[in-house]
Amino acid sequence: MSEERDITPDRKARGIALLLEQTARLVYDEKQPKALHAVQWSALRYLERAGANSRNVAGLAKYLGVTSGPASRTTASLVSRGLAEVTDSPTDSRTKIINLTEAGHAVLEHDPLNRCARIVHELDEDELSTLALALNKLHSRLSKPPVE
Amino acid sequence: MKSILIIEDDATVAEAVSFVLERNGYETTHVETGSRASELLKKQHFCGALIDVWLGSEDGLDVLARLRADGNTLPVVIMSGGGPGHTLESVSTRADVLDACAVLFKPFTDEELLDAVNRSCPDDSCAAD
Repeated sequence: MSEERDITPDRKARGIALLLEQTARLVYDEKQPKALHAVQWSALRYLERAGANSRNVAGLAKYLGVTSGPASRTTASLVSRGLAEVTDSPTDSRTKIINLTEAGHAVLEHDPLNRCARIVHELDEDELSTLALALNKLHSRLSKPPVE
Repeated sequence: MKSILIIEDDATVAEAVSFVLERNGYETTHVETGSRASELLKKQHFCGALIDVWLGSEDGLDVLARLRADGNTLPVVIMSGGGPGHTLESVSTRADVLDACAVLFKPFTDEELLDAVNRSCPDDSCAAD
């Protein structure tokens, strides 16, 4: 693999990088004052998907890649909006489980990602497969330190 | 009997997962690396695979990406507890993009494991002779 810092990206590569960044911003382009933040949407998606043993602050922290402080604050913000509730674990009294409320499930039906997902769904199979592998490669490389 | 390939570098986790699956009618084979898995998949039939994301120096999702790039459509369940460079959010997103059937967040229960594997491999006809 060539060293990343030795590569000079051409205009097209820079354009694609910018388009990716702008596309991601468009997903959360909601201007209402009470709109949920991206991290709150992430937490709601986690709570919908995680099993009972990992649906707690520690699990949410690992999901978001943050420490337990920010994960606790995100949980509290969802609880204050009535989208989640914290209960005692039926198997371990020292552990608290975070559950989505009915309102939490309902709000996920309006997840801002849905519109993007619907547009992606309309791509033909070749476009979809190429996009999936290319984005996976990009994400995998970006999440590792640069090749020196 | 349905056969499941377990790609996991931690022998203790592999053993625990095998125990649950075998007690519930599955046959399991355990390998520790993606390259060993690729070799085995060329010569042996499996109904599905469980892949851990953290495989020492290897990324389990890169292993899955290579399988998909080669046209392999094996049903796959991803297991992850997160780790450096791997938030569970990015793991589950990449797993979805690579057509994994399910993502198990560690620690998971035996029921969650069985549910994910049963849903991924529902077809009895895939059982090896």
